[in-house]
Amino acid sequence: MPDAARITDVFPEPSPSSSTLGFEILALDMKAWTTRVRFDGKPEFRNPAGYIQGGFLAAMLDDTIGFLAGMKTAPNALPSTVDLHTTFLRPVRVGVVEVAARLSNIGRAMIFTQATLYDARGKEAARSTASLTINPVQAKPTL
Amino acid sequence: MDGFDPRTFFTDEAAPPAPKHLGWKLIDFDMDKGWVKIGFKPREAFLNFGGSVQGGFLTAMLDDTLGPAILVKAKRPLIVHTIDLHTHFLRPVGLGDVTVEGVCTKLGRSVAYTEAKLFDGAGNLCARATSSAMYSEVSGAANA
Repeated sequence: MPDAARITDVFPEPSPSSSTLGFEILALDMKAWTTRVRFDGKPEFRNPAGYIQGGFLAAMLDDTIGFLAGMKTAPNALPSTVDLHTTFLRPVRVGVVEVAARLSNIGRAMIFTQATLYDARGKEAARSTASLTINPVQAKPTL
Repeated sequence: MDGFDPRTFFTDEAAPPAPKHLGWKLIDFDMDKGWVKIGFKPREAFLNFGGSVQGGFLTAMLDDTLGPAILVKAKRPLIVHTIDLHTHFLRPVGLGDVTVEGVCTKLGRSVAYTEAKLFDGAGNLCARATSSAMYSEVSGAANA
């Protein structure tokens, strides 16, 4: 079974935030801990200049990072993002957006990650680093 | 520069799609300090698996406060391009009104430096951001 099919073991249904962003998994490697996710840069995410507002790009980067870290910590723990540092390299138009992420360091209490966002033409448009804590699950996550 | 009034510039009708989607509303501002207070309304569509607002959407709210802080400090309309945005998430945010206070700490010749704090309805500090942005004049409106 490809790793990507295991997404439903951990996340039976997409979270509302993922649905809003148009989350669609393209690839997942649970040995190398890398993933590639497609998002939908919707017209309602535009800023005054007509490009996708940077915060929504950060939301796509965060969604990819959170998903990959969640696949790692499941089923007994959930990751929480402590910080997210995003650099915006070029503006992104409405349309398909892709994010590639990897877990660079996996510790007992923390996970450190990197993610890159590509525009519809495959150009690198934003980059994030994030750190996440690993928290034991107290209650089943609500869907 | 008496020409720039945030109350008439940042109207609900003139809001671009992204802030409109986030429920953006100007609550208060101080032009001398380059300070703004903006209200947001998280939607159910922004929630993550934990039932909290996904951090990226909080980042979007912080981003949509930092830009206006730069315009208020500059006292004129500008085109703002965020260079980087670093967010710390201090506590989860549920559904309910959110307010963000942003300040333009320094308006350089081409780069503006900003800081913002995000509060939930109970007044708890939930997220913090620092950012740098490049800015340029709106063509034909340099002296507005």
